[in-house]
Amino acid sequence: MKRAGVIMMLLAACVLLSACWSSTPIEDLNLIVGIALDSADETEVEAGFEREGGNYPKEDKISCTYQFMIPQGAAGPQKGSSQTRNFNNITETGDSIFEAIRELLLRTNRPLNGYHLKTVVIGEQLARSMNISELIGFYTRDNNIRPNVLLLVSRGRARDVLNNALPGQIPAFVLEGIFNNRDRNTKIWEPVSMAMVVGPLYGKTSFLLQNVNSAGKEPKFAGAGVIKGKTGKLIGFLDESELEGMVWVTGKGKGGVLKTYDPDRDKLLTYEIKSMSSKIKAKVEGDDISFVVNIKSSGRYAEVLASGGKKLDKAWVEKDEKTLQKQVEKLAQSTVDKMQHELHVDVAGFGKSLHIQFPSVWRKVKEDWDETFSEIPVTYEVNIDIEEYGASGITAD
Amino acid sequence: MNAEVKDRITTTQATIMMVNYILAAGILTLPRTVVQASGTPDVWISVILGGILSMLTGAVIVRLNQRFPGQTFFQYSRRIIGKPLGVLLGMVIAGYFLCIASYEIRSVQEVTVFFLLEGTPSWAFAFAFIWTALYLCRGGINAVSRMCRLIVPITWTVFAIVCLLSLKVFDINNLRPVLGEGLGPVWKGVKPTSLTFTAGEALFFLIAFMDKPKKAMRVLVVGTCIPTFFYVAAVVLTIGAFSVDGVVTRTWPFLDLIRSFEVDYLIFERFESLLLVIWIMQIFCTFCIAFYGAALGMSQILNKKFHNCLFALLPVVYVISEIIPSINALFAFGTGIGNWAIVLFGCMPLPLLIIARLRRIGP
Repeated sequence: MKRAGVIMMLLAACVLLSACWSSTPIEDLNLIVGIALDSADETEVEAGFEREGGNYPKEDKISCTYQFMIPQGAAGPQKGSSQTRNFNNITETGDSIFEAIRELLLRTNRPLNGYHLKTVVIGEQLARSMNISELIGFYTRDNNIRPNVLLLVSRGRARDVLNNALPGQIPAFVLEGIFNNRDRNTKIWEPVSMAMVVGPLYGKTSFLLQNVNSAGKEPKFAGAGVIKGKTGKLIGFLDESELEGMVWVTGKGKGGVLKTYDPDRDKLLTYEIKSMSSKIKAKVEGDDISFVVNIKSSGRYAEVLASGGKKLDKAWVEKDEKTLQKQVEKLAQSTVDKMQHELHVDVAGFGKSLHIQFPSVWRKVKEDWDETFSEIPVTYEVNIDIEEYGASGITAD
Repeated sequence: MNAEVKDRITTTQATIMMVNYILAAGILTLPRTVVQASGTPDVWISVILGGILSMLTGAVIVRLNQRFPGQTFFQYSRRIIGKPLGVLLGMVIAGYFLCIASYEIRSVQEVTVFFLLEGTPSWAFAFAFIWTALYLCRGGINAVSRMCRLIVPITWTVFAIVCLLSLKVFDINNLRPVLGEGLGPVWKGVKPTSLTFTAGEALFFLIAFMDKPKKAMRVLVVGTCIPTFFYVAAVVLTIGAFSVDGVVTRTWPFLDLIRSFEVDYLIFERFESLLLVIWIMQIFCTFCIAFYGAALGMSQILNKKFHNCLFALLPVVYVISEIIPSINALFAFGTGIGNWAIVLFGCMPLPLLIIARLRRIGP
């Protein structure tokens, strides 16, 4: 009798304690890895559906393109070499991003899953016309999509960016991976995740998003999009060298190249950045605010050309340091110029510095900071330290 | 009077129980609630102040308890203010413990069903939780304290790892300037910490079980300092990642902090599931202690068997937790409990202590 009780208990335990209440085999999932948002621009397929009567009441506002990973092996043996893509893009146009994603379920048998979403790319046209926080509203609220998803903008159509990758690669992953090159290139802005933009969007602070262009078969990081805090919309772009200047002003770079020409000998001079840092100091005198940007960097010669194979002695190094410092100042200045006089925003954190150093002054100017900033004088102190010249001690002839 | 009073716990056990009781669901929402109230990044100071305040009120409770060694509040309150009032007050406090238990279970349900076990009905989760708690509480205070001690190394390690990893998304500038708005907003941030620092009340019955009640003050100080440290870490890291503006938009800011990074050099890439699983254990402890307190109060006030009270309260806890209609109601319920705690454990013990002194009750 007792044993029967125990057996009953065990049976009950097997039934009640098995912990796979809502499991789905992973190969049956459509793992979304990338999303591209564009202003309404229906694809051929969609237009075809509509002709056949596959339509529902909606305003055509946003075209969402979802990129799925095709798990290896799931596609089966491939005949011929025509199909080497291991991703698949589907576009759905509508006014609600959530409705659009559920509408996709009418076209695929596999449940969509956002656990592995890596990047969201927003097209220029859409970003200029809609508040970013409206666009990512669903993604920041959802329970599957994590706040570490990276946001990018694209000059042109975002969908095209997700279409391009070398064979065997998945575009969404490529975009994420390029950010790892920040230690070798200063033209990449820091990766901005959704977690990082909710604050600025809610607090009406302007910020930058990395821009990615697509031409031909490849994506390329090219400058950055400027999002104005007040409206939450894209208002313009920094090009590659302006972004480089921005990286110098903020000191956010991890390494890269600085190229210039020596004015005296008109020869190429490139410097490899090993480290950089920057401090923005605010000065307040009465009602006048001004900023001093203090940039420091150390690194090594990468290329130094001069006829005759000169020895890189102290005087030579010091002269080159001056030349490089001027170049950095020029880069920084042109970026700040563009922010102040063309875009009328502060995305380099000048406001934050003022806030930290002079909280009471900040309270007075914070309401209209982006405009106030346009009038504020900024000066630069650049200090570059060439520590070494690598394996060759003379200039290249 | 009760068999349980023979059950003794050491000072260390009492301290660990205290820590486990304080650390609960509050940590998931604390960064948001304090920032909402104060609006500055200085809220970590508010949290520290909250800890100190709860320690001060706790000290009064300790003194009160030390006048009546071996007795719980439910037993001695009638000796101070007479039977009817004493019974009433005891009932209110037992009811408070019940509400804490319900609040914890409902919070954990919300978070788990949303982030961890989508598709699992919440009742299935709650049932497993409640029945296990009942089984544990039947074992007496020693069983509960052993459970607490068992999970402490696990939860603390995981918490520490997760916090260190989250430095990846930490930006010190989000916490600056320190005291840029002055001390005013910092004070405003103290009040919302009362829910998270519901500390002293556990002492109402814990001290009665201690083998050396003289050391109760140490239990209070250590038992409050450790959770304060955890809370400050959580608040600082969350604000560092999201900035003040961002934190207020997040429903569960601390969980979102853990969701905001991935690491590629450890066995796991993501840690929110791990943290959540661990934190469920932590909340389970709080739930058990509160549930135990409620049942103990009921049994001592009504002079009923402790085990029967456990069974009687079981459905009540579940019903209260299910009555709460929405997430906003849950947060309002939490704030309500916090206010209740301020009155019950912040303001009330002092007059009681004075009355006891004046009437020369106790040693």
